Order: sequence, then structure tokens, then C-alpha cells
Amino acid sequence: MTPSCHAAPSLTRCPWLSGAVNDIVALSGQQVRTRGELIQAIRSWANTPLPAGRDVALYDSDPWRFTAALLGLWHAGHRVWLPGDNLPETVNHLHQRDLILLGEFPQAWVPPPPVSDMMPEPGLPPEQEAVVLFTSGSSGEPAPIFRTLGQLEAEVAAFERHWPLAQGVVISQVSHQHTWGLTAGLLRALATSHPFGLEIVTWPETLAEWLMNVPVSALISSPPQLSRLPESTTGMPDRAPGRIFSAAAPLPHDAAVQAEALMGSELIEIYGSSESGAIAWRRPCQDTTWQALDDVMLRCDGERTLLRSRRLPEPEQWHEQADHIQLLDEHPARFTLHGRADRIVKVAGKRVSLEGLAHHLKAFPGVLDARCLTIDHSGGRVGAIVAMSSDCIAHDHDTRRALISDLRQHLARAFEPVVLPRFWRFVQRFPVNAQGKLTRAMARHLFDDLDDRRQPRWLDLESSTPDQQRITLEIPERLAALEGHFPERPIVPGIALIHWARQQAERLFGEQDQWRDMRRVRFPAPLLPGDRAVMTLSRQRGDLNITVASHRGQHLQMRLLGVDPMPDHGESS
Amino acid sequence: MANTSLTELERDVANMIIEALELEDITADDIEPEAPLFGDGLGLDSIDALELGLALQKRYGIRLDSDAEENREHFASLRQLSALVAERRSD
Repeated sequence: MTPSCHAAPSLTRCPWLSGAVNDIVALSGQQVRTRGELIQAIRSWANTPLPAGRDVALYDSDPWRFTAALLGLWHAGHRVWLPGDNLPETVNHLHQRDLILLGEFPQAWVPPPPVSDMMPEPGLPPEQEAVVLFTSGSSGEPAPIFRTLGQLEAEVAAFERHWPLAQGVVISQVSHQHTWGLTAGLLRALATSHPFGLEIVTWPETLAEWLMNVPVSALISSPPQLSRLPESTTGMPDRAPGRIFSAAAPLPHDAAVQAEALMGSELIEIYGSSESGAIAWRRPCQDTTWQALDDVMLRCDGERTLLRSRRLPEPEQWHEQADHIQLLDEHPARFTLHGRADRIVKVAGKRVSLEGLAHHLKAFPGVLDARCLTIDHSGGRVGAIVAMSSDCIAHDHDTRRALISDLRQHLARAFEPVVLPRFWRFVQRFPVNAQGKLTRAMARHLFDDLDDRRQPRWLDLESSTPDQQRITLEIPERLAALEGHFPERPIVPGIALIHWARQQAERLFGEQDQWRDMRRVRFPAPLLPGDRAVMTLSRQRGDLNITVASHRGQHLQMRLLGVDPMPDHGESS
Repeated sequence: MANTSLTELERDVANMIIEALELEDITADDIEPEAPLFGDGLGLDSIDALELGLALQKRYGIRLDSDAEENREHFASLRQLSALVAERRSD
């Protein structure tokens, strides 16, 4: 194992270039990578000629390839845009900015061979713009955030002052394409000469394996992963990670207690934002209050929260922070957190607080969570996304209508009629991204059926296993396919169900699988306007079985037959 | 089940209301012909009234007078609104 370096953590001094060439700089249970290999890969990127005058965007899910490219590009003086994903919408956005796309993109730029074999200099200026990250988008469209090497270094140094890393590997469950995974999971290891994990450890099963096989100095995680740990210690190894760190979204208290008990180590929760970097910390099993990191100052000015931090562009100035806090102590700042500052919108000329609406909805029996947003329909009315316990959720037209009427009456006591939500989407839990956030874009997608009347409401994707996906859907009363089918008693035509099933099959499994035909199509019971149903897609060898079922029974059964790799020898079913 | 108490014209007007206001959870069969469209009944509001005015013009060629009191009467219920359409339609 590599001895840990006791010098202050640094990115500008490039510790990855110094030390013995056979030092281990990254590993997994099966594989190790040495400093020599890393330097070679960095050197190759640093000497790769890129088109002049254009910025680069890097997306690579593999930590090793990502690290080599990022560091190499830094040494070549580039700032690197880091998109959170490589979805078509994101790629379009990057194209509009005229960026060179490197890594896992459909039409990635293919780097030419390096023009020389020059060794990069072991020094980078702190004012160099290192990365461009994107805001999470939970309160608006994702916006770029520029970070200098000095700012990134300040964050890594603060972590190290508070919780010096023990010997061992830094392993991460969160993507390095986002600020938390980048600084805590990768840059911190590089800046302190600790090895990093060669894989992002997504699944609880593989996490147990990692803990068994390698000594872990820090586990970098976030609420979606920590909320999905097994319930008992069976199968969990005795070897504890040095510390567990969680950030990116609020961690439920139960999940924190569970994680500490299962893994036998201290869990630290970090509060921050993409705009401001890390701000404060607590140990959620013990504390309800937050404490500012030692290089962050906080104060309140009326309702406003003001912040000074070395992670911000002007560290000597006070910046406004979007969350409300209540300050309990000033030096060092200790506080309680009270959520996003309010968003006031105008609906039909009336000002309304979307937080206020959501807050009132949460007081209604059975409502677990609520989010309100304006919808570009019916003159900009409010839409509500309401998470409800499964026994309170509506299953058909009549119960849904009654539920909406009750919710509207409940709100009408405090709000004027025009601001009451007109569009309602009920889910069992909020759909969230890998960081545990319901983004603005994801919230809008729940209302996509308003723009395309051929589609049902796609409400909830729960991934049970890689081989089985379940999606909740609801039949809009104004679905185009219901017109004339039949005038007196509308039911969803079978052809529409098959079409949706094929669309979802393509979307969820189309990258791995192809199908040649469909078989055994049955429509046991009709699906009616207003019905809520679950579409289940299960892979069975090369085939895909699809069902649609509601509390009234099954509405579709079908099977898509896989394309045999060798048609002559394949068995036909 | 179809609400048999609606006439053909009432059903047509009901569908116009649903379309114009993009009502999601209501079908023509859910609208009681005598129930108030605004306030407690269907829950429509002042902005919806303006939308309905436009829809009446587009669908049936009816131009509402600016007399608010009279319009309130026309919009009182589905039955009243259908009566207005029957009387003045020019499509």
C-alpha cells in the first residue's frame, strides 16, 4: 500500500507526478494501477494537440480514464467542462457551446496521437480555471459554474483538516462528473496521494466486496446509495471504512443510523451547493445542527443567508446563499437549515409562493412530499407533484377526481382559486437523479403528456433489477387514442398499449437488446380513462415479457422475441 | 357510464369547456348540467371565464357582450351556457 503523504494536500503542486513509479495510485479488488502508468497516460493527454481556441467537455464513467484525461488536459492549460450525463439533451447543449467532446459521447472527438513525449511540469497556477460544472437544476435550468484549481484545492484542504484520511483507498459511490464526487471522491485522493477506486461502487453487493478486499480510508456516498443498503449486517464484512461521507441531498436520519450500524464507522454529512462548494458538516446520527467548515463564514441579514468562502470567486465578499438558515452561534457558525428560499411566481397576475402551496399540501393526510411548479399550459397554471403513501393514492378516474377535489378544497382555505394547482401528478416517491434530487427537468417530464396527447402520464420508474423495470402510468382522460373508441364507453385501444410497451422496451433495454417479433399478445381486461397501472418489463434470456396491470387486473400481456445471435441454431419459442 | 341527462349539444359544450381549459380529471359525464360551473361546482375561476369567451367565439361564432351581469347568467351552468349556444350560434 502507498504510504500516505503528510504534506498539506495540494493540486497545484501536482503530487501525482512525484513519488516512485511503482506506487499504487488506483485499485480495485482485481486490479492495481501504478504511478508510472498514470504519468504515462497524463503525459499522452498533455501532449495531444487540440483545435485551438475551443474548450473541451469530458464525460467518462471510468475513473481511471477520466482522471488521466482531466489531469493531462490541466497540464496542457485547458479548462474542462464536466457535464453530469451524456444524454442527447446534454450533448445538444454542449454542441451549442461549440465544445470539443471527449470520452463517452456518441460522436466523441477522436484525439490524434500526441505530438511529443514531453514530461508535464509539476506545478499548476492556482488561478487556472480547472473545471466547469453545472448546477443541479433543482431550482432552474442547469447553469455553468467555473472553478479554479485554487478553489478546488481549498475544498480538498478543508476536508483534510477536519478529517485527515487514514491509510487506504478512497472509494466512491457517486460520479466524478458532479462536484461532490469530483472533489471528495477523486481530487482529495490525488491531492493527498491516496489511491482511488478504479470503479464507481454503485451496488450494495459490490460495496460489501470492496470493503472485504481492500482497506478503505473513506467511502464517498450520497443519500440514494445510503438509503439502499441491506437491512442486516449479514454479508457485510467486519472491516470498516475509515469514514463515510454523504452529500448532495439531505440524508434521512434512519438511513444515517443504518449506515453507521452496518459499516461500523462514523458518517459525516456535508452541506453545500454546486455554486458554493462545501459549506458545513454534521454527524447526522448525533447532531441536528450544522457547523460551518473552518474556512467558511456565515451570517444572516433578515431573511437572507450570507456566506464567505474560499470556494467562491471573491472569497473576501459576502455572497447570498439560496437556503434559509437559523444561526445559533457565530464563531464558528452553527445553524439549523430550513430549506430553499421561496420562489414566488405570478399566476394570472396573482403572486403565489410555490413553497407555500407545497407546504400546505404536505399537511394533508397521506401526503408524504409535494412540489409545485408553473406549467406552460392553460395560461401558465400551477402543477403539483404529490408523493403519497400507496394506500392513499388514487387508482381510477373517480377516486382520482375525488382526491383532487379534496386537495383543492384543502388549499382553497388559504389560496385564491386561480393559483390552485390545475395539473396533478401523484407518485409514490419523487423521481430523483443519481444525486437524490428531483430536478426541474424531471419534474417537467411528469407533465409531458400535456404536450403529446398520444402518451399516457409516465409517473414513476422503479428499477427492481437490471433485468426488470416497472413504470407507473396513468391514462389521461383526454388521451387522443380514446377519441371515438368508443363514444359511449371509452377504453384504451390495444394498439396504443402495444405501442407504449414497444416504446418503453426500446428506451429501457434497446441499447442491449433487439427484437424481431412479438408473440402471445393478450388484452385480458380493458384499461379505462383515469386508470393508474404498472407496466412491467422483464428480460428472460433474449426475450422481453411485458405486462400492464392495475388493481382491477391485467390489461396487456405480450412477449418480444429477441434476435437470435445465430438464427440457424437458436431455439424458437 | 354515460351521463344520459346531457343533451347532444350539452355534451358538445361540455367537451369544449374541457378542451379549452385543459381540464384533466373531468369528462363530460362528470358535469352536472344544473351545477354551477364556477366556484363550488366545477371550480372554474375568473381566468377560465375569459378562456371560455374565446372558445365560444372560435367553436360557435358567438361573441359575448361586455355586460358582465348577463355573462354571469350565461356561465351559471352547463345548461344555461348550452341554451346561449342554441340561441346564438352562427357556425
